[in-house]
Amino acid sequence: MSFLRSVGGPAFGPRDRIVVVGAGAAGWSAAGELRRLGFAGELVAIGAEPTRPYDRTACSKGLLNGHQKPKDTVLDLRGHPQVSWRTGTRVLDTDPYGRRLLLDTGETLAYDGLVVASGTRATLPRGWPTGPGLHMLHDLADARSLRSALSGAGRVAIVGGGLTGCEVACAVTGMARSAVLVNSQRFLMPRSVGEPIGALITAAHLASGIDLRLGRKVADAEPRRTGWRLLLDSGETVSADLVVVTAGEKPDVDWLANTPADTSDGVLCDASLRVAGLDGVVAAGSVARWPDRRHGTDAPRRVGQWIMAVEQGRAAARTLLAGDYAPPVSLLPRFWSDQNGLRIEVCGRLSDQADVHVTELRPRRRDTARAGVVADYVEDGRLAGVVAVNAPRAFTVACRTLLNEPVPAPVRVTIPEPARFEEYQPLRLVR
Amino acid sequence: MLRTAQDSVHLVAATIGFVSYAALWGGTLWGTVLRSGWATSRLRHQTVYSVHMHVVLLGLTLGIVHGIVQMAAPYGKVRAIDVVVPFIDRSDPIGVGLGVVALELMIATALSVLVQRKLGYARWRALHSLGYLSFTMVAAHLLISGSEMYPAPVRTAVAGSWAVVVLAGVSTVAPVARMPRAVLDRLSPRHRAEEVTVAVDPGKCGSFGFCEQEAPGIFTLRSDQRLAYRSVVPSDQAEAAMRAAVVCPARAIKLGRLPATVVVSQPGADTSTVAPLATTLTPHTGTQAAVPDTHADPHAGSLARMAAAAVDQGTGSHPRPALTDTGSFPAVGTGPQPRVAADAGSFPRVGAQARVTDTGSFPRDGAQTRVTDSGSFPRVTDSGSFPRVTDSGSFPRVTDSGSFPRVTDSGSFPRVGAQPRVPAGDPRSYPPAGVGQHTGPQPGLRPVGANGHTRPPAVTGHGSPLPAVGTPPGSLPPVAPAPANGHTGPQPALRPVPRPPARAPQPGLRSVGRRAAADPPPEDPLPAPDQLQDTGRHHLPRLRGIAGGRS
Repeated sequence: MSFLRSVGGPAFGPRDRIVVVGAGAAGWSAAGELRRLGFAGELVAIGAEPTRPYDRTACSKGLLNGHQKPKDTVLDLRGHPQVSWRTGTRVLDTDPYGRRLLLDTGETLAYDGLVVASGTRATLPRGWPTGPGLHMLHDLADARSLRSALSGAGRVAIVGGGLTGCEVACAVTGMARSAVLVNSQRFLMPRSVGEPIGALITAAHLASGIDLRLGRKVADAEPRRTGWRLLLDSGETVSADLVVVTAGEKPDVDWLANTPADTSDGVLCDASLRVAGLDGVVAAGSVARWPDRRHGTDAPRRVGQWIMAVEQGRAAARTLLAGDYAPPVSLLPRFWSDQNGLRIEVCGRLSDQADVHVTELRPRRRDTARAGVVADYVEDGRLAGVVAVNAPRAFTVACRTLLNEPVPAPVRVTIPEPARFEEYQPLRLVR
Repeated sequence: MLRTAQDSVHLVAATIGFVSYAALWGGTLWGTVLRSGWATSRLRHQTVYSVHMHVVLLGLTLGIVHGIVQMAAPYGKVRAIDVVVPFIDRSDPIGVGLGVVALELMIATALSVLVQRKLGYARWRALHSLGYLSFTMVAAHLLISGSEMYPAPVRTAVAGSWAVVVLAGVSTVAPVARMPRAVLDRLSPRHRAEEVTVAVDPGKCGSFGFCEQEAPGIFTLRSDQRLAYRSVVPSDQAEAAMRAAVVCPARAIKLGRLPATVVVSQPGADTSTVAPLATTLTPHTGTQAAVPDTHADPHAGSLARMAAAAVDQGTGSHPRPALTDTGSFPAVGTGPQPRVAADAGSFPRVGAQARVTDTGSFPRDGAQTRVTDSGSFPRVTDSGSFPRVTDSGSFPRVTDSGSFPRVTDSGSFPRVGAQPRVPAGDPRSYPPAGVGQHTGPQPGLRPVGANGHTRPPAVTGHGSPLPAVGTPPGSLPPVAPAPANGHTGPQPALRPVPRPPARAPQPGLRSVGRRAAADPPPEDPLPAPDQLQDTGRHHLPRLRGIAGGRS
């Protein structure tokens, strides 16, 4: 690789091996894009889950309500020739100077280029007991076990009123089970869709029969013989056969702990998705924390969205092959959700400082969200974000406006110098 | 003429039976329309659904009445128990029994709608398809025990209506619906290699509109919230179609025949050696250790040697086209992609398919699963021969490998207008010629067809329908994009879809809370109707396209 670079070639040639850690959306698209861009060397993708790359969004959507089977969620590998998928394998440690990875099988795997796309892990709040009947929802195995548990359950408690929690609640009511949703805020999905639309969606969910406990926190969770009992901070108790906790996730960066990379919250990257402090390493997906010029601020941040992960994977692949000449990466956050007939679509950024213009498509209808509503987030006279419920046409037009909008000037990010080799102490590598 | 009571009862019962059969016929057929989404471009889903439900319920009710009326005959032989328990009727056990079973099955199928959510969608669908079986039994009941069935036209009508229902039901099941296309593909391997077919499952499409954001020239979400799309797109728009398929929230977009050409290049000047197609299979086969750490010796294997030769030839010695494209890589993927091992000795030639570890069933629960997917060579891996590669005349022709198309813009870069372009003259920011792009004459890299025959240089590109492989590099115009995809054949009449009026943010003009017409006006800026088709009606135009594409 150094030879190729010294003669001004691309960063990686046919003798090199690029390892993609993570077989989710970001790793999948990065591997495909590397091949599509003509990377002719060896390409290894390592996934912790024992399954083929699949569509993770289906875990809380189609898989739960039965509209999709697991085989429907498999991602297409036709565009990924010559990729060795090593599923069911974890990376334990990284030697950034010897460019080696330590796998949980005990072997080491050398790399020339590395794509960090290891994603996130679902976490339980501190102090929660575990046991049968307590579910988290992050991967395919979680979705399968939750789906099989739902068949015998009558009442399901969902902790956390974010996007996943709401989707689970809708899937549960769609299967003719009763759902209790505990949320610490006064309305649902505060971070995802903002307050005005969140309040309308809350009203719609309340009307559709989801038992909402808003503004409450779970003070104690106690497994019972036949189910669980949750004690809320208001003093009331919720009994349920199943508890689904959707209360947070944590970037899977333990395997980078011995590198100079900043792994305090995900992996800190520069504007081109290169991991700061590591040479020949890029990151993509929900693990990458990078300064996006579209976001308006210089503060790097992580985005855990499916479309973003796919686009980041492509961008990271381009960055990796372009080497030092990679342009900055700027992407428009977009996501969707389908909840009991509410088609929720969000793009752009929804900041608290923006002016929000809410437009009802059919003003006379009482069920505002179901009849169609659009919220435009306007900052400094410019459209910055759109939230739409059951208004796909208006959303599409607004979203294309955002996509075609020029991106502001580049953000300067100082990249910390890599530690010198003498200072580095390789640790747990066994070979 | 004085009619006896027996005759009167019989007349009423037979009439009701025939009307019931007609209603069930229409309702079942309409159910097929509902399932396949044929009517969604004309009618609302709710309308189609309620027509199906009401017509079938009418037929079902009349069927029950038909059964009860049979008992009213004064000298009737039908007892009450014969109408409930099948196959115990003394005069006509089979015919009456079939009718009874059909009626009960239909009632059960209809009642299952009530517990649809409890059952789960997939199970309910399977149960609901029993409607075809029960309709078949009704037709058999009519043919066996119908007393008015002696005239041949009546028999023909009944049997014909049954055949129509069964044909419509079977032919719209997804695997069967795909079959004509698959057969045509197999019979004519050279048709439409350059085009990508787009099919949207109307039952899944949720009209989210993400596809239009990615590919506005292909998909258009109309103001009535139905999706219109082009079913055949040229290869230069294939990447946009692919992006749309990826971001589709409902995963309703299916792409077919993604064009990509894999060229196995030979090292050095020695192009006479035949590179077998089998070498394009994955170099990691099951016999190898799981990714052995061969990195200590990067020169091991001819992959490295070959590719190094290719890169050495490609680096810096060829003029690159002036970039007028966006800041992305030019002509991505037009070159020999991916370059794979030409190590003919270590791989079986054709039998190598067997060594490709297929991905198998899903999900894979083994702790240590190794999925070695050969990805873009589906035809090679699933068949013993080379159906995709025809040795037509002297031209090897790679028609399909299912991989990414040869497209010229990449990813999200072109979206950003003000983005600093990658310096056009800087060769270092691109993969060298021969790795990712066809930029100029590359004497050392002669494209070799995937079936291993080298292309005779004398006849290269004499108007052959070959994609980019056959296009002599020197004949490319300086700007790589459009012709580099090799689409030299007749382009389908493509008209750019005018974009709908962009909704510019005008905060000052908009009153909070009300928007008079949030959706743009109903007239749709769509291309000509033959370019577009609505969700749900893609079957006929697609077949037409096949027929037209076979030239």
